[in-house]
Amino acid sequence: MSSSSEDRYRVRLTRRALFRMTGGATAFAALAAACQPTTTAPAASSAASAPAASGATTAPKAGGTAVISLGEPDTLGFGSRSLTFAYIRSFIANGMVRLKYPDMTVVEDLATYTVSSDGKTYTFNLKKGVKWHDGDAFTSNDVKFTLELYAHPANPAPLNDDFGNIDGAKAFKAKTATEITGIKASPDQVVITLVAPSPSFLTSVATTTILPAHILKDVAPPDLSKHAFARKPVYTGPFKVDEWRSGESITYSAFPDHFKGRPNLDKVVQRIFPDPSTALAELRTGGIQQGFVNADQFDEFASDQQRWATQQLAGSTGWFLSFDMTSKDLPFGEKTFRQAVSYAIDRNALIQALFKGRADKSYSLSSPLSWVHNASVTKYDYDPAKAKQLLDDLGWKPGSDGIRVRDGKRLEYATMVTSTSKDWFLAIQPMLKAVGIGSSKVDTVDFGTWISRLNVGRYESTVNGWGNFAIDPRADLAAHFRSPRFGDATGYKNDQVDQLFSQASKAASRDDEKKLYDQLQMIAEGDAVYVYLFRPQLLDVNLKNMILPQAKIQAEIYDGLPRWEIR
Amino acid sequence: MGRYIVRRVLLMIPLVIGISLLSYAVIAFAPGDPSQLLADREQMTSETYASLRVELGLDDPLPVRYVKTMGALFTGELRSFRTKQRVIDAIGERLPTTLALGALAIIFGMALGVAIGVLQAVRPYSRLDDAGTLVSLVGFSIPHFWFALMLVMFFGVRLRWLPTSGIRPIGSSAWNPIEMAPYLVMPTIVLGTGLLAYVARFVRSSMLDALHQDYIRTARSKGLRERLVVVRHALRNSLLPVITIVGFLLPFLIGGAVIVENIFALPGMGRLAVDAVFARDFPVILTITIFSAIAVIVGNLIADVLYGVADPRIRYG
Repeated sequence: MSSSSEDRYRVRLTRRALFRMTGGATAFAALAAACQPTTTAPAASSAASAPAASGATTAPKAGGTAVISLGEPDTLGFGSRSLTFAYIRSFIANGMVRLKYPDMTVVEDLATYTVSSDGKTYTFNLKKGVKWHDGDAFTSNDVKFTLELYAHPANPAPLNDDFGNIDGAKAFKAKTATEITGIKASPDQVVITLVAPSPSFLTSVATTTILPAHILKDVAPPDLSKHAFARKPVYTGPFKVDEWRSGESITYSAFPDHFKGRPNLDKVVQRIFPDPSTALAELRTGGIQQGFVNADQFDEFASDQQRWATQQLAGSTGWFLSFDMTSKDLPFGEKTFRQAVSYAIDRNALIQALFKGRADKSYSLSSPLSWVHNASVTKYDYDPAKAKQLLDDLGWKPGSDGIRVRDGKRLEYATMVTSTSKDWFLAIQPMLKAVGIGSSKVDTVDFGTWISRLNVGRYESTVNGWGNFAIDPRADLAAHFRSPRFGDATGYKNDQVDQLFSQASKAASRDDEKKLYDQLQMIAEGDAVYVYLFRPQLLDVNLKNMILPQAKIQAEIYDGLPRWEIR
Repeated sequence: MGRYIVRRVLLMIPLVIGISLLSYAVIAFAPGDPSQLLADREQMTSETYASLRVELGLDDPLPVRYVKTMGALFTGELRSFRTKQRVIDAIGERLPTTLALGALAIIFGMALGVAIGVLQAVRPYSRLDDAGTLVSLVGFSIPHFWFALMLVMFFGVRLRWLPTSGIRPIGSSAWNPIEMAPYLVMPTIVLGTGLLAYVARFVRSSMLDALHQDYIRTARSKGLRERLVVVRHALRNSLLPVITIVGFLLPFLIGGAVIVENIFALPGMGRLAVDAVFARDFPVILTITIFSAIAVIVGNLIADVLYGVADPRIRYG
């Protein structure tokens, strides 16, 4: 549930009941009407400004400070593992290539590239005039330095498959070579030779931030995270980091010499809120100018078009029920049982009740927006009669209290939830009960406990959320369907699927790769590994005079920060 | 008294060691694995997981981990699992905020608490006394987070008199008391109200005791004005126990700061602690726990010493 850390920072409210009071405090409003100040938005002038999409028709206006809300990263330097950094990275740093949102394909960034016909040689032609935030010129040495860091013998992290695939990287890691022979750097070019063709190599390059050799070359890899660079880095992106005040804010300013041109805004202040209700209060009072709210609060903003602009983005997290299929006492290993559960869930009702309709039904692990997605996988939609039929066929007969029984054993089990998913499961519970599936316990734990128990043999069932738009979509599929895998939550293993994974990792072209992933998802999703529920939309709210690029997913909002504009 | 202080300070050593052992055990046995929280699962492989555990030193036997961690803590080299920042630096960044908030809350709580308590004691069992009791009762029972959200909603969102969160205006990074004052009003009220209630109850009862003493009757009978009797004779004597409770209230303030700092997004130690707990950032949790424990022990010691300073009859043996 990579998204759960993200959830903590998003403007969403868990103490919903309390805020219904706040939202419904119109009595207070009447009381305070005399003291009501004018809104901070220049309502009259902003009425004339165009909505988000049409920023391109006139020349963008430069200047201004945008105050936004985003979580606190672990580090801004080398080796960050947080999703927040992946968002920040998109406006302060560059890779040689970058991910294009929302389909997650790879496009040029610091370099244009060509691939040889055998798929083993990548030629990156570096763009000219690229400067680091400190004014130094970006060179091919920076690229070589960065890639060698990942294979550096003193780097405690193991070499990943994609960089281990660079010719000579393993020898360098094993200290039998003093450099990676497969990386040839000339002034305008970096040529990388792979041992075997790999379609995921470019994605790995895209998620690798190029570091400045002139600052970091003498720092031992284990000390990089302790270097001052970790909190005040120097990159090549459109914004540079001015100051990071722990627990408070990070301030960025426009980098005028950015190779794609200066961003519109002068400054961006990222405020860090530990509690979503605080961020909501700041959004209401103008303390932040952009944020994400939950479905309960969205109408309040969407209905005030004089003051606010809103966008409904596709959810990056898909939620589903997950079972320990290795269980000996419970029928989770039976595909028909999992199908029955899926048929029992009324997704439309859940989406209406929990998100006021602002969520999308989900039938598969991959996001419908990602290039790997296969839209034609089997969908097990709401059909309670069919659910009952399947359970009957499995030999589970309704007992006196409606809960089904087979061989003297009742069909009920425990579900592990977090504070985010608890309400959701409570809404699902009666749907399961309606077809005769009982719940023995709803176990609410914190995220840290949840993730450590999300392994076969350590839980019965849970509500799981998955997916983010910062990493390779292939990794998402592999983390769930390929075996063996780290932190196996289901015990799912299908040899045919595993074979397709290994074929896909050697595919000669993107088309071939896509076909293999399509096939693989047909089989894995057909096995009903998970009971998919919904993808809650992300609801963006910003002051009307702030023009944001039209986005489909959250990552695009931050990726597009250089194009934000204050009118 | 010097010998007394030295003995108390020496006694702190085994106490701190005991606390560190206990906190370490609690953290080590709590559910949740820090290495699993450092990276997303889809990016984790068995190799990266193993290397993370080595990096964090989680594969060492528990006693070895304890000794290594404590050694690093006292040489200042202990680093956060998550940010790799020195824990001592992280605390150094956050401590001024928490100290400022705590000091303001104590001043607010003491000033108002003493005033209310004295007024109640002067007119016991009157309507004024009942009102004071009600204020104390409400102040003591009101949950910090609810009170904070109500203040934010009313003074921040509806009236817009005060900023709803943060510690200073955007763009400012200085410690400027005039700029920061509006940001600290609501946090001080929330944190100080519990203290106020406690102090008021304490002052009331100790004032009632004092007002029935012989020396008060003497003071009155020699024709002293009632105001002077109350302030100079009764209050001075009854403040004695109040000094001690401030020392004992330190843990209460630390606990309250956790909630108040989170709701008002103040960059203090309480927030650092909460974030560390969620991330299972053992070095940070441990340091803050030990740090707070020492603060409480020292607070108690200071209270005991002040008690002797305020009341010459007390002898330390």
